[in-house]
Amino acid sequence: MKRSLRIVIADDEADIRQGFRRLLCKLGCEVVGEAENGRDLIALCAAERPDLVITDVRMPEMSGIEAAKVLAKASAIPVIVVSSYERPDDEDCAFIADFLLKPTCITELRAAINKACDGAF
Amino acid sequence: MMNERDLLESDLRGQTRVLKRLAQGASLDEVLHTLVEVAEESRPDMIGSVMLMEAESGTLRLAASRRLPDFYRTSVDRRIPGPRCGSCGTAAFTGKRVVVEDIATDPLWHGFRDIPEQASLRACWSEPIIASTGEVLGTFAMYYSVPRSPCASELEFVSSIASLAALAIERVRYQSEVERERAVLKTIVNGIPDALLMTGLDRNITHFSRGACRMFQYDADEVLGKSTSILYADRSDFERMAEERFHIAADEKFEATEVQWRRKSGATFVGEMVGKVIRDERDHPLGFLALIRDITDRKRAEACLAESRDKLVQAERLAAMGKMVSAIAHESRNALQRIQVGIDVLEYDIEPDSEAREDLNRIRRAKSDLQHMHDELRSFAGPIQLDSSTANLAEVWRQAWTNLHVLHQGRDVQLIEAIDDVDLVCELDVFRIEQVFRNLFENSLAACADPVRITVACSNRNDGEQRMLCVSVRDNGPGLPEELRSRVFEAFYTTKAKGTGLGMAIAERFITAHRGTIEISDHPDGAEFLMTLPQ
Repeated sequence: MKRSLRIVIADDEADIRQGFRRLLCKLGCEVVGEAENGRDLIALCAAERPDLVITDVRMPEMSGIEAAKVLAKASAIPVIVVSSYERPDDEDCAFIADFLLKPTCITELRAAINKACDGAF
Repeated sequence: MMNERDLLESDLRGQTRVLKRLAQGASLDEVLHTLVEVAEESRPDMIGSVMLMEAESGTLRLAASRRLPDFYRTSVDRRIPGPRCGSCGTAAFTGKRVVVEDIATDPLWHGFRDIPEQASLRACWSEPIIASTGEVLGTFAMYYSVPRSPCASELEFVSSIASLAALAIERVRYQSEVERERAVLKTIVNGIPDALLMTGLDRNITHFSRGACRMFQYDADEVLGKSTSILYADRSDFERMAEERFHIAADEKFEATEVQWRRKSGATFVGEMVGKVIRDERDHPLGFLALIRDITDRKRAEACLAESRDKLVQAERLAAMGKMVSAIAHESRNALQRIQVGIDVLEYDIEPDSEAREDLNRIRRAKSDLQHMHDELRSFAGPIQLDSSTANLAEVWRQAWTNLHVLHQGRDVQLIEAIDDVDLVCELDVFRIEQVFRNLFENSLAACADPVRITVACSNRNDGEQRMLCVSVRDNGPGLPEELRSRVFEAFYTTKAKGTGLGMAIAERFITAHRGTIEISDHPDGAEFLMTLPQ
């Protein structure tokens, strides 16, 4: 049996964090941490060493894209961005594994995780 | 020496000669010379001369004389009339005949005697030439080389010659004035770019200006004598104008009427016309006059201006709506995400086929509708940044058709492609053009009863140096109702019970963003949309 994916999620809306956490649990993943801004996300990743990050873009203190850039330099943790804004420039997308436009459904989320974690499901 | 009767006859013949010259249209100079000539012929011992008043300088100018010596002519020319200014100068000043029997002694010639003396002139009778208005036009003078006084017949002669001269001068001046006015009028008539037409009371053309020839493309000879009805594009306008303007009791109207006109080639144009009744001095109607101005360019400019204004208003509306949509986009997507994730989680917890699962499905559909509406608003009002790539258009519309599977599932529906060897490769934003086809297909599926046949036909065309792909999407439905045809691309206008009415407005916006065009065809059966896309 495969080890469940350890995921950190970041979104400044608690309802969305909670929804993603429950949904990822249903998919057999383990949410090992939740952050409400980019800075906390980086700290969480340093502490938990997750397999994957799912993050919003616009958050206080530091955006999800900025956090993804920092993470890309420090580690190889793939980052999936889920945003209510349109896809950022290609330059910014170089640091992320996938981009999903809100509202994203379970099918799209599953496909993105599969792509980012090389056939996790 | 002629007797009285011969002299009278000679005078009459002379006067007739003068009148003939006048009738022949001779110049004033020629007529006055003839006048002096006939006077001198009937009285060979007399030297005649005519002087004319020059209004600008107020001087007398020598106008005609055959036998006065040059030095004398020079000396009398440009003399200012006065109360004691020789015979002619005094006659012109007083307006009365002056008879100087002996220049050498007469006080009127005091100070001027040496020149006539030098010319051997001793007597000079001068008759003022007076116009019908009473104005002194000049003088007629009879000189003799010996002192002498006139007899009654000579006085009558000088008087009749002066009358004849007055007649000639007035006639020639009137003629000149008429000719000047005609020249001015001709310049105006031929100089204006508008068409000027005159007709008789029967509305048959009597004058067709150069402007009219240019405007209507007829030579004047082709239309003179013909009814103006040949110039009207619509017979009813010709009849309407008879009621409104071209009848003898018509009131004077200065406002212009717009009329559709027809050129010789058959082409029509909009012209603005003013027209009125031509009347003589006694107010009797003689015919009609019409001035027509081609306002095609003005109409075109007005249409462009209106279109620009509409576009500006539309752009402002779009910008305002874009701001609004952008402002709510983030929050509404987050809200939709909360709903979505809630649905996805509950789907694991709620039993299939339960009432709760049906409730959940209703929530899902409501969320989808909300999202669709939100996406449409964004497509219509949001900024368009095309994400272009090289694509085969057939693949794009096939994908759109496949995505509508739910709509045509279970129905007798067929998508027919008529593309033969057409080159379908274009640079386009696949996502947006797919949405154009999706909107067109959705409309056809909604409007047509089974069996539904939707045909996509393509061809290539060259527009100058630009190669275009032309695409027709046609269905076998009832076609577009007349009231919808002109408004089909208007935002928020729909004949469907549901929907935002943005589908075709979005399609037009996307196609325009690709520098293409989309329009409804006049196909009699079903609805047909024609698109062009640059290749």
